[in-house]
Formats: sequence, structure tokens, C-alpha cells
Amino acid sequence: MKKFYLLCLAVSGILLLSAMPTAKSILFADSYMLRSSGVEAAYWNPARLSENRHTDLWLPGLNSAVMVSNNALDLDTYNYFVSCDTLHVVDKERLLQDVKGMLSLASEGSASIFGFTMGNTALSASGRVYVKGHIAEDILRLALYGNTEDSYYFDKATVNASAMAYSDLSYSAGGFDLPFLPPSIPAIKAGFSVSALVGMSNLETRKFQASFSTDADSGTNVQQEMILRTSTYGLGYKVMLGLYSKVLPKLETGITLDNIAGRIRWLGDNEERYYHIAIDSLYASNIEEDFYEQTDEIIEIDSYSTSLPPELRLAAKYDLGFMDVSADWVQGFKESTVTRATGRLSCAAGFKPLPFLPLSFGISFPNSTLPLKTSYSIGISSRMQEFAIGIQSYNSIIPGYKSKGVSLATSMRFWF
Amino acid sequence: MRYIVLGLLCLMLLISACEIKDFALPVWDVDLSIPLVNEQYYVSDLVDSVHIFTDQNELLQLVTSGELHTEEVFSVHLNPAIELSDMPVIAQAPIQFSIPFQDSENNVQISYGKIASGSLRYRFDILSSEVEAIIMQFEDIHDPSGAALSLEYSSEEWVEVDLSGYSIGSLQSNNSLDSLRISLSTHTAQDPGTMIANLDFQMQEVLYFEEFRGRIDHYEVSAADPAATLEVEYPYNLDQAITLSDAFIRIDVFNELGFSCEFEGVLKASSNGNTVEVPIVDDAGNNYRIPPATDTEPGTITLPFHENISTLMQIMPRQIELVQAKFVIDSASGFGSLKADDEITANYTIEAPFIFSLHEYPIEIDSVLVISIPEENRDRIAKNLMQAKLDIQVKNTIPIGAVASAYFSSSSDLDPADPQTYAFVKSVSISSRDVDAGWQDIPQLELSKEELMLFSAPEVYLKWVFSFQESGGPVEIYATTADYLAIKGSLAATIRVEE
Repeated sequence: MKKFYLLCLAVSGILLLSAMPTAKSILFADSYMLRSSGVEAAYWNPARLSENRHTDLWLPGLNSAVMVSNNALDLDTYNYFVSCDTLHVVDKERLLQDVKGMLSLASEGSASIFGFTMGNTALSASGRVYVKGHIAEDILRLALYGNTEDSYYFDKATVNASAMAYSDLSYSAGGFDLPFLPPSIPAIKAGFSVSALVGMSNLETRKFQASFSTDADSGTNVQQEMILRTSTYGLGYKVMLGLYSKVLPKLETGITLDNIAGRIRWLGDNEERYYHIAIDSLYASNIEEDFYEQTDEIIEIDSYSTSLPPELRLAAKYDLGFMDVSADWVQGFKESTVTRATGRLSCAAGFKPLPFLPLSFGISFPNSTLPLKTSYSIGISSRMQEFAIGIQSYNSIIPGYKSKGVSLATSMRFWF
Repeated sequence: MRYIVLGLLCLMLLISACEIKDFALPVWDVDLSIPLVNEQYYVSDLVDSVHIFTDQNELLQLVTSGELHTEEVFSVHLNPAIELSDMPVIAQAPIQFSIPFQDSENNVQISYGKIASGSLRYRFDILSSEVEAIIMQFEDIHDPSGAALSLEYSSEEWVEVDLSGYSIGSLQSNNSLDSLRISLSTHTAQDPGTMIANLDFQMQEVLYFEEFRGRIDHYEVSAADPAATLEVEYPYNLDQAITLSDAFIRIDVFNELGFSCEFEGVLKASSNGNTVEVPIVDDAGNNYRIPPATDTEPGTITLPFHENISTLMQIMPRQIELVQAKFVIDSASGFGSLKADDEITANYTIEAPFIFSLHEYPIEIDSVLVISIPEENRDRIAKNLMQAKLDIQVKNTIPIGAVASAYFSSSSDLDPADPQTYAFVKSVSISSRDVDAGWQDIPQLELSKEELMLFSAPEVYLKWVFSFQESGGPVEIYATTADYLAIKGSLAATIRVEE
């Protein structure tokens, strides 16, 4: 366990968050819309609520996932780093070679609270935590090499921290056939879910600007201004609409539009924390006690909103008999804490080599902002329950020394 | 098929088993560039308006000033040496006569004088018993109330009259008082024309005046000797490293006497056994003459000394004295006046323009700087500071070049002449503007790890030694805004980062 934490520390970092609606989706690298049913369908496609004709049950904490990742350092690099007695230039460059402008760190967690279905409706609750941050590459270079350049500039794009925790209480209904469709068109089922969101904590970097310069003509000059916005309590909502159709006997398709009207209004202990440091033309020969100006202010602010931009998901799944394969495309409409504006394709395959042994493999292809993710899972299932564990590797097909992040997930469902 | 896939998955999971090493922070070195200094040190900052000034051309001047004054209370004296014996006194006939009143030393001629001390004596030898009264009145001697001195017969004994507070002559007169007018009257029953008495009169005591108007042929007023002493201190044996090329002495004399007078004196400079004396005379070799005071203002004169003073200053004197100083009232002074509390004062100013020749002579700063290093920093220096160097540039617009050497030691017994007493020395050479007027790159002052270890001691001792570059001739130091020494630079240090 200790090694796991060390791994978390070593590779913790952020990639931008991809939506992680339920823990089990980790097992399939998020190609999960058409694999969801029961309570999980409330989060992936409410139109599939009626696909599991049993009453589905979620118990607290049994569907949980945690992720830590970064964009630059893999386990191999970590092991190399901690094994070195002294870092030489070649070692420093190895640490920096994949940073590419900034070191991004991220961590996510989600856990089920409860959930159950009744017919084609479901009521569920879950909790989620998102933490992410960026550190500019130049900051790392400063730490490793010193101030080899005359000037440095950092802004919010490269130095940033944010965190949000919230839980949802979702009511879903689905499996309704769309009326008035011509007979030649396969049946299309529709569904929706409405979620009440309870924000528990929020941290946003509203502004970050820092400049640092040193030279003999103008001395040391530092200007740093940072505004953080925090809140401890909020309320919000979102709506998801979904359609699902089995267009061929072995081919299913689906589409969802999530986060409709989604936002969280932060209401409690809202503050803006303003930090400002200025050093003007400082030389070592004239350092005095008050050589810098520092301003720390905490201002109570009115309530504010964090919007959850809409996100479109398209999916298809084909049953090959001994396994099924699926592909999901997710496209956010705007960059946010929980959505990406860059589209992403993920695929997965699931099969049961033994009737009680479900296995799966998933791959989420990299795009300009997100790395390759691959997932592996193994489970055990019976007529009334299913339990699975999975691991997801970032930037490496096989979880190992080249992984730059890892997600672990457990899933356990009961139905009767 | 399904078993093959299962086997592959298990194999992949086994392959993916990883060793995660315990976290340990390695050490590494970072190079820090720390701006150290960027200053312009203007020559004009030396101007303190106390000792260092600038002239109208902004040439820097070392200025020392002082004051001298006559300590003597003026007391002009006159010895009338008057003696009258057996002068017949005739009855009933008022007699008016004069007796000569001249300085027996023939030195002063008085028109008015207020007597500080002096006396006269007289005696009547009565020949008739019928004499009732004899009155002798001096028209030119007045008591403090302005009444003429009147002496009356009272006995045949000598009568002595103290003249202190009396005045002689007329304040309004500009003519010398050559004689004393005396009026003698009698009251007696004797027939007119009868000689009734003989008068003996003496005025032989010297009269001293607290106020005097008239002429003085010769009167000397001395100042203390030396009248003024100027101690010149040269820090760090600077006198060995420079030779002043020029100097001025200006003496402003203020004469409260109503006489013009001649000023005599000698400037005497001493340095390491060398002595140079320069008489205070004008270009023609004559003593300077101080004009008399008017009724409202003292007589003033400014005495400039230049050419001959330069020789005096060139020995870089450690002491300059004004000796044998005196003021002489003489026949050329003419008619004048003085009071006892009149004095002659002089303000002297020595101006040494910053025009000097520089010599290559090490100037050793006497004091040893002690740099205390806290224990925490000592540990950091020992453990983390791997290397340090200074990147310095200097711009020198002053016609002086110099070499500065810093001697570092862990011992307070630091002697630059003895290499055993210091750990290392770092020197920088700054060329004069005549050699390089632009930014001069100072060769990197680098401290090795071994040298840096010196700073892991609780105290480090530093001594500076400067040496000017030989100028080969006089250089002039101006205090314009264009005359400065600019220095800028950074400290580049290699720091070891460790847990």
C-alpha cells in the first residue's frame, strides 16, 4: 500500500479531467454507454434503464474509483530519479523531456452512495472529487537549473490549481419508445435523468500572473498576483437526455446529451483570496527588511456559479458472439473542470472466458490534450451480482514503468 | 480462443508488475544569478559643504578654515614727562598759560584720550599767610562728567590726583594736543602782583588710554604664537599616495581699529620632519596693509596666497601653523583711533583643489572588517555552496585608476605583507577614464569550493588594500554629474540542493 501512495505522489498530476460518471466505466476506458444498465444507465444513457429488467442495487462505496496522473513522469523516470545520488544535466533533461511546457497533475475520485431501480426509473446518489493543477515547465527548470534566463513569465494558462467536490442525487426514467416512428425504422428508446448537485468544496484560480527577472542593470524584479476563489457549499442541477436503439440484432447505438443547463451555484463561505508580492530593483547589496511588498487579502464575495457545459456522447456496440466490442465518442462543447472541448474516441471489448469470469479491455485514444489510456479488468459474476476490479494505465498500453498515471476501480452491483 | 485471451491477459498483468522504489530525493546543483549591485557613486557626493566644496568650475576643493584674533587688550600709552618747579603764583591776577604736552618717547600724538590709568601731582608753596584760595583749572582735562579738571590749594603738601576715567583733549578735534591749557586764579588780600606762592606740578607717570585718538608712530599688536594651527589628517597614509599640485590660502582680515596696520606673519608647514615656511607677503614681497575701520564697519582686506603656498602644500603637510603673526600701527597709519577692546580678527581658508599626482603606493585600511557568519549559514555554505563568482562591470569617468585588493583570513592577525596570515586575496583593477572610459569588464572574481570553505568559520576577517595607478602628472577631480564611478554586477553561485 505504501508503494501505491508513493506511486501516487510520484506520478500524481493532472491531465484534464475526463468525465468519470461511474467507477465501472474505468474498466472499459470510458467506452461504456451501451454497456451500462440499471442504476449506471442513469449516468450513461437513461434510455437504457429498462434493459436490465431486474431491480438493480448500488451499495455505498462499492462502486468507487480513484485516479492519479500526470503528463510527464512515468514510473521508470520516478525510479530513476529516486535512485540517483546526484542529478546531472542529462538526468535533469530526462525529467523535463516530456513536460512540454507544463507539468500537469490531476487526481479524481468517485464513489457510489446508493442507487436502485424500480422498473424503468432509478434513484441514485454518488460523490465526486476533482483536483487538478499545472506547473509551468520554467518553474521546474528554475528548481533544477536555477535562474539561467534573464526573465520569466507565468500566467494562468501554465500555473493553475482547481478543485471541486460535489455529490449528486439523480432521478432517472427511460426505456420509453419514441412514438410516431415509421415501422421501417428500428425502435428508439428515450430517457432522461435529472440530477440535483450538492457542491461541497470549490477552488478556482481566477487570476495568476507572475514575472521574475534578474539582471545587473535592473536588479531582481518580482511581480506576482494571484486570486483564488473558494467556496464550501453550493447547489446545482443538470439534465441528461438519451436515446438508444438496437438497430441490428447485434448492433446497438446510443446518443446522450449530458449537462443540459448544468451548473452549480456556490452559496456558502464564498471568498476571494488575493495574494500579491512585489520586489522592485532589488540588489543583494541593498537588501533591507522590507525589500518586498506583500498583500494578502480575503474578501467575502457574492455567490457565483460554476457551469457544467453540455457534452455529447455517441456510442455503438457490436456483439461478436464470444465478445462484444464498443466505441464511444465524447465531445464537450466547452472547456471546463469536467468537460473537454476536444473530442475523444474510446473503444472496449468485453467477454467471458468462463461464464462467471467477465474480462474487459478498453483503450481511449490520445488527443491533443489527453493521453492514451488503456484499461483492464477482471470480475466475477453470478445470476444476482457482479463484482469487478480494473486498472487503467495512462500513456502506456500495459500498466507498468511507462505509465504516467493509473486509475483503480471497483464495481459491485446486485440485482433481483 | 477464450483461453488464449485469458492467458494473454494474465501474462500482461504479470509483465506489468512493477517495482516502485522508495522515495529518496537526490542532490543537484543549481546556478543562481543574484543581482548584487548597480550603483553610481558620484564625485559630487563627496561635497559635504564642510570640508569639501566645489569651485565655480565644479573642481573639487578640500577646504579648511579657521579664525585667529588678537588676544592683547590695546593700551596706548603716553609719557608726558611734565615737571614744573617753583612756578610763581601772582595775587589777584588770573593767569592763563600752557605747558607742553608731548610724548617723551615721541611715539604718539594725542588729540583725545580716555585715561585708563595715570596721575598727576602738585604742591603749592605759600609765601603769604593771607592767601585764601588758589584754583588751577585744566581746560584740556575733563572729569567723567565733562567738567574741566580743577585743582584747589588745600595744603602745602603734595597732592596726587588719579586721572583714571578722565579724558584729555577733545573728541571732536582731529588736531594733536601739543599743550595743556591751565588757568590759575587766586583769592587773597595781598596786593595784586604780589607773588603769593610757588607751584610745583608733575605729570611724569605714564598715561594709559582705554580710548585713543591721534597718531601713533609704532605700535605692535601680537597674536598668540602660533596664531592658528591646522592639523591635517591623511587617512590610510594617503599623503604617501598623492601629491597635491595646487593650493590657495585666503585670509580675510577684519580690523576694528581706527588705524590701518601692517600684517606680518609666516605660514609654517611641517611633515615628517620637513618644514617649509612661507612669509605672508604680497607679490612684491611687502607685508599686507590692513585698512582702518570706519565709524560703522571694520576695515577688511582679503589676502590671497597661491603661488608660494603650492610649495608649502606639496610636502603634504600634517600641520600648518600661522606663526609670528602681528599687526603693526605705524606712521603710515596716520590719524586714527582705537579702543581697548578693539581687536583684529582674521578668517583663514585653505583651499586645496583636487589637482594632484597619484603614486603607486599601497594604502592599507587600518581596520579589519569582521564578517560574522551565523552557524546556520556556515552549514549551508559548507554543504550547499559549491562555487561563487562575481560578474562585475565598472565604468570610471574619473581620471584615477586603482587596484583594490581584498585579503581574507580566518585570523584577526591579518597582515597583507605576510601570506601566512591570510587565506587568499582577490584583486580588481579599475582603469582611469583616460585608459578606458566605457564599461570595464572586471575579470571574474571566482571563489573555489576551497576558498568558500573559509566562510564556514564563525568569523572571517577582511582587509582592504588600495593602490592608485601612477598618474604621471597632475589630475583634476571635478564634481559634475559626469564624474562618477559606476559599478554593476551579479553574484553567480552554484548551490547544491539536497534534502
